[in-house]
Amino acid sequence: MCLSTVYKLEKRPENEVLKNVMLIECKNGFVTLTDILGREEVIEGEIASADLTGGTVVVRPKAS
Amino acid sequence: MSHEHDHEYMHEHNIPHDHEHTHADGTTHTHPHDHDHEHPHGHDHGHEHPHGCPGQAGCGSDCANCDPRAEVVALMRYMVNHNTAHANELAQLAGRLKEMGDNTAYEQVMQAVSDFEKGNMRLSTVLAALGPVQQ
Repeated sequence: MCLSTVYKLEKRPENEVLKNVMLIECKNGFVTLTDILGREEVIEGEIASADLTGGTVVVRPKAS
Repeated sequence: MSHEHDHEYMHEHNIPHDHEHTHADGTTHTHPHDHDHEHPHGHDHGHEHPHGCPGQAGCGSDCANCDPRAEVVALMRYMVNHNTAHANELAQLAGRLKEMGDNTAYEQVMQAVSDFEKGNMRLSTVLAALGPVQQ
């Protein structure tokens, strides 16, 4: 699977934002996630890490 | 595919919020998000776009407003296409082994590619039987 699960702050089940994410766009301090069905989540922050083989992305608040 | 963008809070910061995206069925289009945003409160929140699903954040397929079958079919379609891409990549790797003079490894990898494609063909048949995604 090359789809990702996106978490806030750190990879913990309770921090899961969206599964099966196929598109991530970062713009103006916001991260827009789109899953395989076209559902969207917009969260404030920036990508802290992306494990592309593990299918895990972590988004954290943008450092000021 | 329809979208609704419900905002629980009144937001106000004019971020350009339009973007092009591609749906599972391959359709690509752009949503102009021309609403204003305001974050008068200091706490961190998800700025979620529920799309009619109250449990959207990480809801997966266990939400009453989601269609779990549509999700399974979409994932199946994605994986069948993905497997095809990987089979092609493996065939290219086999070609590199052949260029290096390792014909035995080339033939073994190409046999594996053939087996992989057979399995993917079986998945593709199942996918066709499942029918189009209903959303």
